[in-house]
Amino acid sequence: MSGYRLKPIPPGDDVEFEFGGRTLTGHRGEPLAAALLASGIRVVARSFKYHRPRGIVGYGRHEPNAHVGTAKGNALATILRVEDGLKAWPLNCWPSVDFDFGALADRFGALLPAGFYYKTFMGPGGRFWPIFEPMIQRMAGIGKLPTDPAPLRVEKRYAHCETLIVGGGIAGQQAARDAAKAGGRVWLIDDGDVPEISGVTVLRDTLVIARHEGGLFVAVERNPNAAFEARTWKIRAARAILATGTVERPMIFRDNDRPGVMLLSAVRRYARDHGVAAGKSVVVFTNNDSGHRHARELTEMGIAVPAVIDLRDGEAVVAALGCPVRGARIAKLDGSGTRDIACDVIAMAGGFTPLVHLHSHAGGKLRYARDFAAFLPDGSHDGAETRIDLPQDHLLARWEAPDTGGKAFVDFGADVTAADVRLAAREGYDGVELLKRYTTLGMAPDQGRLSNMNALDILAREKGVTPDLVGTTTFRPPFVPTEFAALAEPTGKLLKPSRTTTLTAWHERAGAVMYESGANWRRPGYYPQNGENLDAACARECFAVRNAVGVYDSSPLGKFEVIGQDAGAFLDFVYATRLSDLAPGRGRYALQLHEDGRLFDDGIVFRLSPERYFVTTTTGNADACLQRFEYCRQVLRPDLRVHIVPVTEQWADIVVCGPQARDALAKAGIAPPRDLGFMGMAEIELFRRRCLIARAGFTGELSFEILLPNSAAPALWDRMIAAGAVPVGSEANHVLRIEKGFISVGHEGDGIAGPDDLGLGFAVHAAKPDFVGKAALLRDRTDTSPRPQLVGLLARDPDFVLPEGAAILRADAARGRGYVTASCRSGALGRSLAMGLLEDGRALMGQTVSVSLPGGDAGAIVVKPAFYDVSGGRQRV
Amino acid sequence: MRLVPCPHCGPREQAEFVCLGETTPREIYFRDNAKGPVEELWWHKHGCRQWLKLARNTASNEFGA
Amino acid sequence: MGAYSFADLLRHAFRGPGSAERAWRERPLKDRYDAIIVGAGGHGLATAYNLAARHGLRDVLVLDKGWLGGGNTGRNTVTIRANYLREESIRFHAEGLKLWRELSGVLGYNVMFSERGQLDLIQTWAKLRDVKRRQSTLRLAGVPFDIVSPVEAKRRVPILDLEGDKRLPVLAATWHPTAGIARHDAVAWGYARAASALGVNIVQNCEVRSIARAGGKVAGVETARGFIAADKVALAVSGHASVLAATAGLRLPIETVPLQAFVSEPLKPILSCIVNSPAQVYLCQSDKGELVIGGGSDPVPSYVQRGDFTTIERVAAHLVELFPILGRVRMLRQWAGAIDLCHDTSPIVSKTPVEGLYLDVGWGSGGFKAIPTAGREFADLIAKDMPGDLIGGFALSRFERGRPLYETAGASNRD
Repeated sequence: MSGYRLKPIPPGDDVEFEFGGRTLTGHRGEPLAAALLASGIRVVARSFKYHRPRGIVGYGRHEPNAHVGTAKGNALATILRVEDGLKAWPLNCWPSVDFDFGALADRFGALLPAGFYYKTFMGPGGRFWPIFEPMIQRMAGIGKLPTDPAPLRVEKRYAHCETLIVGGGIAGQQAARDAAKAGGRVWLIDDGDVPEISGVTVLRDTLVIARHEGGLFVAVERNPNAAFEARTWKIRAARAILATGTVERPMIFRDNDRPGVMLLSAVRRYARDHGVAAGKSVVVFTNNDSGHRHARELTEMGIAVPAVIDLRDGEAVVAALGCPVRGARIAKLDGSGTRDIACDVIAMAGGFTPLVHLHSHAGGKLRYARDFAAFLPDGSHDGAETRIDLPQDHLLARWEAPDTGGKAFVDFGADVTAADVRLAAREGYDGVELLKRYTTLGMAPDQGRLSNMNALDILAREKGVTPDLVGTTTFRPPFVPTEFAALAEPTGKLLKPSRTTTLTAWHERAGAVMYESGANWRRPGYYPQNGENLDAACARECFAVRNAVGVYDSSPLGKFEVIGQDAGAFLDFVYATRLSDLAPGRGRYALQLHEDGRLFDDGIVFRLSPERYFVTTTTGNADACLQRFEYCRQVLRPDLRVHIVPVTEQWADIVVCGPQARDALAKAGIAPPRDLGFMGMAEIELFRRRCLIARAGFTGELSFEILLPNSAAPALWDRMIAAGAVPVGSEANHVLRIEKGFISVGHEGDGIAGPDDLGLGFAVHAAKPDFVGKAALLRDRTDTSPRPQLVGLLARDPDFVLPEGAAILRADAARGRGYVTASCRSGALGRSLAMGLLEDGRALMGQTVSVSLPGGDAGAIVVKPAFYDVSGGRQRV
Repeated sequence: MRLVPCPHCGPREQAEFVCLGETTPREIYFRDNAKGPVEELWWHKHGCRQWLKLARNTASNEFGA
Repeated sequence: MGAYSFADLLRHAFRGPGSAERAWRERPLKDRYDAIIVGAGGHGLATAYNLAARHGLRDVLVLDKGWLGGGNTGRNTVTIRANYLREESIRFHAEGLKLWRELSGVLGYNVMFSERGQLDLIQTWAKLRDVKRRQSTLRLAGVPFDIVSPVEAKRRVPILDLEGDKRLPVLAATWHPTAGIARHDAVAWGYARAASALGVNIVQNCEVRSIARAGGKVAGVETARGFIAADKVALAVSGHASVLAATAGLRLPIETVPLQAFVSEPLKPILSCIVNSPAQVYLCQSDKGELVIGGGSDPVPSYVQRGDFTTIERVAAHLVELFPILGRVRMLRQWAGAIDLCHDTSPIVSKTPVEGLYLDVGWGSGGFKAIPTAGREFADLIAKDMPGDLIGGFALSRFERGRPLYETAGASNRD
């Protein structure tokens, strides 16, 4: 036994918990580390690389070693609270923490210096690495996945304040009182307990983990109420005071990682705050006044301190003896005068390092303060001022004892020794960033909080410069490791919320297979009946459209009203197609181009009246079209008097299509205006509401597109179903449009093709004075290199459906010269059909090309991309 | 990211905006992509829907530089 | 200086750190070199090594404003793959997969290339069509790439959750067995050591402030340590390509944006391959046990190497949605690099209108995997003043001709 309780646990506050299979007793609410120390458990973990036995070094967040496992994931023993039923176990050891096979690595430690893995495990030509790698992976790593799959219960909140104070110590509390007097919303955040302060909102058990630009702070509150385990705050503060305190700096000597070597500040906190003595006899090793001051406090609390070894007196602890510690070896700096002192704790007191992480996170610069051998914020940054009081302790800037062999650790968490730092520097990794990357210094879960300054000091000495010339690495968020769930946006249904139409419920009731389509809409792909598969359902739906009547929910289509006396001129500028000469009541297929002349979007634009147009775009591009319309209106053509009203969500859109469309509408009690011709649009009253009806569609059949207020859509849909119209999904639409050779921007657009490549030159009116993409189109005409051109493809085997995406081969067969963009089995034509983009494809009409397939290429004949009702008579009836 | 100073709506979260980038003469593909103070076009998509010309420093992300 | 081996470790074990040899050497600066490479990242160092090893061009200076490999070489998420969309990209990266396998042996430095395969999750029908197209082109290039079922995906990535009514369910996945990862810093150090041994001078902390021209030709570079002359100057930089090119009077089709990456606390092995949910989140597990996680780039152009918190929230959400068991695993560290994103998301490896000035820039988020191939091809371009077949598609002139090489196709929506 080593540690003990300075006073007994008050009756009723004692709880049993389990650590590594042993049942122990602790004080309810104290850190697990305190309970382990009090129970005399000294070895609590194995180290990362050498698997050396390790004990508790620090207090609270500042602990490099004591990672323990629990059912809910990995935690620090210095943070985890003792509660009824707590079960924790040591990590990174097998079979047990006291006897770990991995510790063989320590025996061969001399062969495993910094960067050892770069120099070996290669074998001839580097071929052996795949054999060695899994072994290294098993030795490395620390934690395991939680065994309890229950998700972290977390909520998010926003807050805004004039003054935010981070840290509720003496400096923080004073700053809060001052700020409250000045007025405005004042928030104080601390990860422990803080008393109430009048006029200040206090968040307790809350840790600020990051400061981002613009005064955005992220904080995680633990157990805010019974419903949640964590609450993540995003706080915008006009001004912030960072009173985040310090962490004590370790000393460097042989075997300074043995269980029993601790920070003096930690020994003091366990005694003062939890009544736990970390050992019976504490030797203090220091280089400044604080070692003596705090040693006296220990003595006052009844803990024996047989010696305070002070480097300033020319003496050092040169080695920890025993494992766990049973003594300290002391020597003069020249190596003489060796003596051993029996003790079970060696307490390191190397001065204090300010925690400047939050200052640094958002880009604040640091300066080196020689008096304290520490980096301090160089002024305030982006509204945040750091307030950290450092005591004047007459520190001697030396932390390292004379080398007596063995391993003297700089970074306990990453298992980096002083010799590793020197080796790296001598091999040329002598900048602070290279050093970190070569040795992995500062990359363990404690992120080098205890080690960075000591490593800098060694590196500076190795280079013969002062630490400020070496500089420090950048502190990165988060301040402490934080659960991904606590950082995440809402998941599940709230992750990219999907959009629904007023008919979505009907589709789902009808058993439609719904899936993600563009712009987060969920749409019916097909409506299987009586156990139909996709092909059968799709064929039945297509048959209905070609031979009877189908009905399609086209509500997600992008829709805009463009209004104003210059509406026509505006659309002439935005579209490559001329639209200003449309007669009211008429529509036209129109193209938008990217600035570089490639196809951006297509759709039908109708003119409702001289100053009012109704514009449709593809579903996926509706948002992008609004941005573009407003860009053209406000930035490029502010001279035009026009308004743009996005109405995608305002109108439901039901398409009734097929040779019997007119009859079905009649049965449903709807009479389209008699003079409504192909590509015409008219207002119509349905259900006593103003609606629009158009003769347009994507199927090549007689087609009525009815735009109506959302609330009226289910009634119309029900009537159309009652009138015998067959519901049709996206899959059938895909087949029907291939049969017609209509392009889909998502399939044939490909990001590269221009309108002429796609056979859409008819929709470009280049005689217009200017439109987006015009200059690039004219330039393209001078480029003679081959272009991808849209073609139809008929597989030699009419029963074989060419796979979409398959490459179309060039004569030299090694490379593709195009690919199949869309492909289907056509019921109407009784064979397979495909379209593709093929380099100079129009020159190859009638020729056979090969389509690359895994089991051998397939032949296909290049034809014009139009297969069904090529003259277009059916849609015009 | 800093709050974007929308002259119509006041300072707002950047997530409400689309940044189109520099306003210097735009060839189709080529950009100045300057490091330091630039004038940019921003669109307040989830706000007033106005296109804004804003000064920003691409080396510090500060607005109004 | 030869290849590193176990003998180096034995020598160190017996003689101690005093026996250490510098991995590379900084020699005094001369006032003229045959060629100057700006940027001592993976690309610049690999180019220098190849100039010396393949072309005997040893009078080469590599300059960096910071430390070796300190740009995106040291900030990326180390994925090495060839499952691109365009044939030009696929052929280039398919060659890379071969070079990566040999790299440790070639350099005598263990870069820990680990051919562990990549699983891409398909969560929309549009993406399924996209991967079918990639599959066909990859097959022609001889790269195995299979479409597999969700059950097979779960077998390869046991932490993947297929249960419940997911917003974006896993419809299928692709398996790219020859994809892998490598130790990013080691790639820079290995090339630096090999190049230095061949006589290349590598100088850190020496910023190139401008490129000097004489008429239409390059004359050298103005640096923090004065003017240095050269007939050939090659830019292999990221996050600063536009700034440097501007000093030579060139505008590039590039925007600089932050790209973030994250690592988890170190865990015992739980993930044996790379797993990617396109455009949302991707991860692999390093040999140290950390999950290395990336997502999309930040939305606003910036040279600041710091990330936006909304990106962290988004990436973490997709991570937790697909792998709920990682919800309680802790994020250890987050950082950002400034990437140079080319207008068409393909790189520029090219001659320029300025004679003697060469560009290897605009790699966006995909530069790390390209290091061995780009280093070889860029060195060939500099030495011969002629692009090889593999980089013919990456010429700057494609923009002047209006024929960009879009690496992402248009939004593929079935409507």
